[in-house]
Amino acid sequence: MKNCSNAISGVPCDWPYLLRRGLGDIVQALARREVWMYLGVQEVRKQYRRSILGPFWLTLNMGILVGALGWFYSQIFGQNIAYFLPYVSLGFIFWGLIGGLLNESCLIYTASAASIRQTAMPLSVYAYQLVWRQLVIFAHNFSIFVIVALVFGIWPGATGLLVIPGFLLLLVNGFFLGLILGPLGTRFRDIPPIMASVTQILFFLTPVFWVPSSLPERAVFIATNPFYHFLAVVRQPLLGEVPTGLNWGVCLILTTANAALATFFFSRFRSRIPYWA
Amino acid sequence: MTSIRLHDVSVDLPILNAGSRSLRNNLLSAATGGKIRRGEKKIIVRALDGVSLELTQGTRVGLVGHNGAGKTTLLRVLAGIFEPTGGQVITVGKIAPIFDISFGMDPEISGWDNIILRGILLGLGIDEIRARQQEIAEVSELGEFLDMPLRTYSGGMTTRLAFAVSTSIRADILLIDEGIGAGDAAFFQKAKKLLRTFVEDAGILVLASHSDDLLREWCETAIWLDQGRVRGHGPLEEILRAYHTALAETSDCTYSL
Repeated sequence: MKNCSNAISGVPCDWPYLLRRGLGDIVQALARREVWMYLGVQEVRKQYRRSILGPFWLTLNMGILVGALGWFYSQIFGQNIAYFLPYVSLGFIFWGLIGGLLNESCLIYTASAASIRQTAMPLSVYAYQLVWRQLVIFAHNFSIFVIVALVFGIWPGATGLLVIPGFLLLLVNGFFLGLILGPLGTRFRDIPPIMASVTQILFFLTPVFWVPSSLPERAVFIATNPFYHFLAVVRQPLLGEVPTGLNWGVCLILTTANAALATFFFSRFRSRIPYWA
Repeated sequence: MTSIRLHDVSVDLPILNAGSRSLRNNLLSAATGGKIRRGEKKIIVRALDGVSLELTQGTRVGLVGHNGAGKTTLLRVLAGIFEPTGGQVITVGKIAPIFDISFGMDPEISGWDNIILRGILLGLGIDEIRARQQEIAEVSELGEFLDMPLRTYSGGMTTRLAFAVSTSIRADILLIDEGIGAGDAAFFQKAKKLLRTFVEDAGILVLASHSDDLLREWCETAIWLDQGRVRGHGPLEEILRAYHTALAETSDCTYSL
């Protein structure tokens, strides 16, 4: 057994060993799902403890935002509100998940520094916990779309089922992003604020609350934005539309790349995380 | 068979200050070949230096040494929290680290929920904790207080609860970092009994402490750590004597200076 956990002194590395440990960590953490499920839910609860609505405060905030902006922009852009409001509500709900994953992926180890130093758990537990927590928040927010769909009589039919693979891709990406940005954000404390700004900018650049067809001359600008494709594979099915092959292709390629990069990165720096946190 | 084997284990701790945590400084240093970081060399502390140990079933060992001698780092290596930067660690058996008694407690949730939270963080399964919740509650002697949020507890009550959860874990290797004895006198007697069965069930106990009395009560052998190295390993009294003699000598030197 060769030991090369020291990323600092540049000891040559035994990749098969590191990858075995890294992948082992990811598998073991999956087996300890009761830990990250419990902690994930606990974190959401903690934020809204002693308030009457609990996590539904999030939903209420977003609901008001979606209602107001949906109506307002449909007037400005001259869109049909029956199409635009459901479109915007899904945009906000899914962006809430994407933005949450982006923003918090770099905080997973700094936020849990105490547990990391007190107990030996597989370190990918914290990445699963991130995804689970965001999923719980998402589940609350999704009730907005249910209400909107009822009001406007939207029923996506069988096409709606296409949302499932897209949604899984989104979650998988969030997990692997945590394995990359988590260690990075722990080692370099400038990363979390940088990510916060980047997420903010991406929110405006991605067609969350505007439709791509309103910018026909900027089609390339939209098509090169990976977040557009990720949003499309989950939003379009729920509106009864089939995402394009390009949407699917881009998402699949990016997910594969993300997973591969994350596996190598996490395996390489995993053992350093307790020292950095 | 429970055992711990350390072979030539070293741990280098990076000291990350604001400068080295900054991405900008790191990028700049990469772009300029590192010249810009004049006078701001990366600081690395060697917390453990070539430690080799072999502990077998039935060992009750105390860790002695100055502050910063490497006791806590060694416990973290044994617990599997720190992967050493050099050498090998092989442990056989389920490990229970008890380092910080207040770890895994949330002031806003009830005593019952804290039992679950702390239990989960200490590595118990959720069904396992639910099954033992009643038993833990009885040990803590908190009665109806368990329905109240932890923030309403006194310090001693919090400790009792934490202690009750910790000692409900059955482990082969028990790692304890000093300062575990707390709570009022009546509870302490009971705690001792609990700790006694807890320790007897475990195959190996490693206890880091500055209190000779505590060490005498629980340990038979001791390891003396000094600047990350093992300076002595043997029967408790022998090591304590050597350690105190050395302490006296160093303080004599300080006076003569």
